[in-house]
Amino acid sequence: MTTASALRSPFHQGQSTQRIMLSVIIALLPGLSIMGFINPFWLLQPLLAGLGAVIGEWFFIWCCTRQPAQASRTLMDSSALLAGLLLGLCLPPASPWWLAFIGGHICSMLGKQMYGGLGANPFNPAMLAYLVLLIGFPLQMSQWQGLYDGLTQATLLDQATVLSPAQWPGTHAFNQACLLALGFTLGGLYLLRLGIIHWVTPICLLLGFIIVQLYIDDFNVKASLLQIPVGGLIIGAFFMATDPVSAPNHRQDQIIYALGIGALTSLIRQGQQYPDGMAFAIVLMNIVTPSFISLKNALKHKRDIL
Amino acid sequence: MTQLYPMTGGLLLPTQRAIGLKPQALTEQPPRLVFALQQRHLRYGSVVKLGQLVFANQVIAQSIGSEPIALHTGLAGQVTSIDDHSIELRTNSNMPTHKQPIPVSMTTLKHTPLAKGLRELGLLGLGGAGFPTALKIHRIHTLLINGVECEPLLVTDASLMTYHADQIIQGLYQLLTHQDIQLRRLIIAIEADKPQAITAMRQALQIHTWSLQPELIIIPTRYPAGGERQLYQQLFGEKLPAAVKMSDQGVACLNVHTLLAINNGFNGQPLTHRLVSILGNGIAQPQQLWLPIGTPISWLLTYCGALHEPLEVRIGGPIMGQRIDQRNQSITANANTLIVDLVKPTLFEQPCIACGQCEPVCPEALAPQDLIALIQSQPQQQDQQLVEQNLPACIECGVCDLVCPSHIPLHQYFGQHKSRLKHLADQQQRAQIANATYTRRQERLAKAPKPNPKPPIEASRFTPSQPLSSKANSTTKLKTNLAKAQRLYREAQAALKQAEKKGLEPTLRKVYESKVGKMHDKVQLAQTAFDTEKGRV
Amino acid sequence: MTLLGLSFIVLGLYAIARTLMALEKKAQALHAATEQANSIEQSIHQLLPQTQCAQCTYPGCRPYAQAVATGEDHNKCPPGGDALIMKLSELLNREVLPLVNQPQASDKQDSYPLTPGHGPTPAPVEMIAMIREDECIGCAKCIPACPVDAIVGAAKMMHTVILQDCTGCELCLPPCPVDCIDLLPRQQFL
Repeated sequence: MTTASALRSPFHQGQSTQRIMLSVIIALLPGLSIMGFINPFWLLQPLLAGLGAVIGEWFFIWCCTRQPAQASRTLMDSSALLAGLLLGLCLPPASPWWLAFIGGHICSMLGKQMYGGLGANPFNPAMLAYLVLLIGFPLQMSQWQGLYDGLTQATLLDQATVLSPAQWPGTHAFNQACLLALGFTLGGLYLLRLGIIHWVTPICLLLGFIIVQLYIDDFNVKASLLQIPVGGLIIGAFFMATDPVSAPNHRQDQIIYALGIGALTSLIRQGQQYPDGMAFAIVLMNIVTPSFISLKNALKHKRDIL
Repeated sequence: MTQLYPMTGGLLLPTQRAIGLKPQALTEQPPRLVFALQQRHLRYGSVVKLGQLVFANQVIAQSIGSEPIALHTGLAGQVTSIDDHSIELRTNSNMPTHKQPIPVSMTTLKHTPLAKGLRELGLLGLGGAGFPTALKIHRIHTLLINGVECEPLLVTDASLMTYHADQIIQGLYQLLTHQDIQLRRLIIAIEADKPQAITAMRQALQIHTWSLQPELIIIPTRYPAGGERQLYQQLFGEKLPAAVKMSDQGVACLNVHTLLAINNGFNGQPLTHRLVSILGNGIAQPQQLWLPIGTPISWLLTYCGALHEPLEVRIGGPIMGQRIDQRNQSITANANTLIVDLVKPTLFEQPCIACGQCEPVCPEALAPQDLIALIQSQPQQQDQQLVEQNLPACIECGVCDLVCPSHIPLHQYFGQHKSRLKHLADQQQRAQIANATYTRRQERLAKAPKPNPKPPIEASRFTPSQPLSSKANSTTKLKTNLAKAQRLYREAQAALKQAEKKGLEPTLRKVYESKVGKMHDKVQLAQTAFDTEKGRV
Repeated sequence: MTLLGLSFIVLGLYAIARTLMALEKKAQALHAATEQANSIEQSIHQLLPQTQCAQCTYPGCRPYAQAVATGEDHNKCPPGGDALIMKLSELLNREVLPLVNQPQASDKQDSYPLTPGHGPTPAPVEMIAMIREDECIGCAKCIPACPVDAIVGAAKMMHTVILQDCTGCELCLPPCPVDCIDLLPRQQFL
């Protein structure tokens, strides 16, 4: 006798993993369409990275199993495509095509499949791949040509030495950054509405960021708030830090996780050596995550033991 | 208005219950009945012999244990096969029904225990788990009557309450008047989505005058609000720890169908039939039938007009039910529903993405994602960690399965490991008891006074009148041994023959046969020894 | 960069603190659970199945536990089976050995992690002893043989085995002069 399983239950509630991944990709669409509207050239990196990720995953599984059918089946959950798209959003648009392509491969193979596939990776694959590219190809990763102004310029954060944050509002670059942030926030709200992410992570991330930023800016609220739309903060808050596999499992640990990411992002940005601290912050907190023993388990005197 | 407390977790599911089903009797008898002897809570041993003619309502098996529970056949016939797992009966409608005498304890208020009467009637829980009723009602002060039936699709209890409410309440009334039952509180719980049943039960309650007024409480529709521990939480606000049973708290939960069977018991009828709903898109139309326990599923499917395509048959509900192989199975006391569906393609199980959807819906406040990580990764001290994470508290309701995006059959894994852990815990407990008795025995032996050594026998007292020839002595002794061995061998063979005539189960037969073999070996040895000795002499 | 360094230090300290807290709680739980778990022998003894059958050539489970603690092979207990060998190997950090005196399986079997090159030993079936009361002569020779006092009886009186207490150690079978004790699977009766 075998017990009934939800494998075929008509009463299955909620979505399958594939639908969840596709919903996240749909949530990226407002931000992507704004990017495309400003400059269609910018969409190249996400698409290249996505393609690279899909091919990389298929190739890895095929190498391990030598069964093309099984490799194709692994792609069905669309997690590789999503990770590639998210990676591509962080890459400079003017970088060579092979950077995004290789980045996608690294994301799938090194960031996810090497650890055992979906559900087994300790690090956020997109952020890990971003860091590998940053350290391995520093020159290509600094080609921010044409991101905001169409001129060979660094991002707003790189310009901070020249242009102080107080002078940002009004610049073309800042307006574009705000639009993009709005687009991705809409996507994040869509995910919240669907119940795919929980409001705790983005709120705590932004909170952690604001608190440390306020301390750095000597409690100049306006200057702190200006830091939010730039860089990958909004994307990180709604799409990267909410990755269920690399984030801690329990709610109370997720709070600490998100606060830590926000705080670290703000701190690393002050270092002025990297364009954005988000990737480092996320990977650092991923390193710390296994040491979170859930508070629920720690309160063992409340648990009944047989 | 009794206050209801909220239930932990659970899901609101579309119940999709078939409407317009009425209980019906069978129009033809099944040609054979197959009684399963190995059930979830009990194991039965046959008390009939091969080829014996049995009447309807006759006892054909008793459960193994110190207080046996009887198993009755609903139809008359001849026993065609007996083995460890089942008794098969070929039915014969021409044989008369043998009226079972009513056990004394059920009819009078004399000093006879109710539990004994329930055991003699073979009463098991008819809600789906099949737990022996006699074991539940020991010293209870609160009785819950479970008419909730929260699992989607199930309609058996609802129909019983709608059309047979009078019998159910009559059973309850007679139960209350028995001197073994002294209750402080009596609660009837019905789910909110059964308005007809609620009305019928209310009307039936008004017929009697009650010494203890039953409270009819409507439970909000939610799955699994009808689980007995979940009912306990909703009614009393307390979450029972895993190790504490409801009977420890003096609370028992009986299904409405069980009450109906108890009512039949007061009228002398043992448990032989039950109401089964047959649903699904694999049969011509859904129906509800009063079936004798032991009805073969294969015959039942033909009777209901099952389609010829490959079918998947499930006993129980769509979530907690068990898929069965219809060729060999039959209706047991716990089969409240049969779901016959066309076979659907399989979905593959995907790895857990730690999405966390499973935690808020668990009615026992477990963390399924932690448990599945422990089960799949098999770390050191896996068992201890599983117990720490409270896996024994899992009620296998299947709610975590329903929300898992990776389609992992969680409650199947949990069920396997739960029974494994229980087995290990039982073994450990027995080992501890054995160790304690061993230690006590060692202490007792150490303290016991040592017996004085016997004085050596003086040789002069036993000088024989004539010396015995050593050769003759040894031959005589061996001859006696041989004769004794041959006698024992003959006796063992006779015992085997006699036992065979009575009709034996294979295990006991093996025992007798091994005895014969051993005696035969002894004969051989004695013969060889005698021959060599004789040859030497 | 000092802020960055500071943040690293803070994170690191936090991680260490949480890990220590968790480890301490785990240690407390283990200490509470195993009453006098300060000796290896006690831990070994608690894992043994307490059958007291002497199949390991030691006169009981405690002597065997003592022996294992002082270096005896840990693969001598048939009632414990492979599961016991695994647990003892884990506890004592020793190599996993196959159960002694088991028939070697052919190479065709799947490599089983417990006994590489050999097949897995089947899980021991729990047995209990039952006296065939028709044949019992009341000699009382089996009663002192039982290490857990599971046989009830007296001279010239009926003997019977208390099934719940019997561990299936088989020590009562040899003393019986009429061979009236059978060993049967426990599952059939309990």
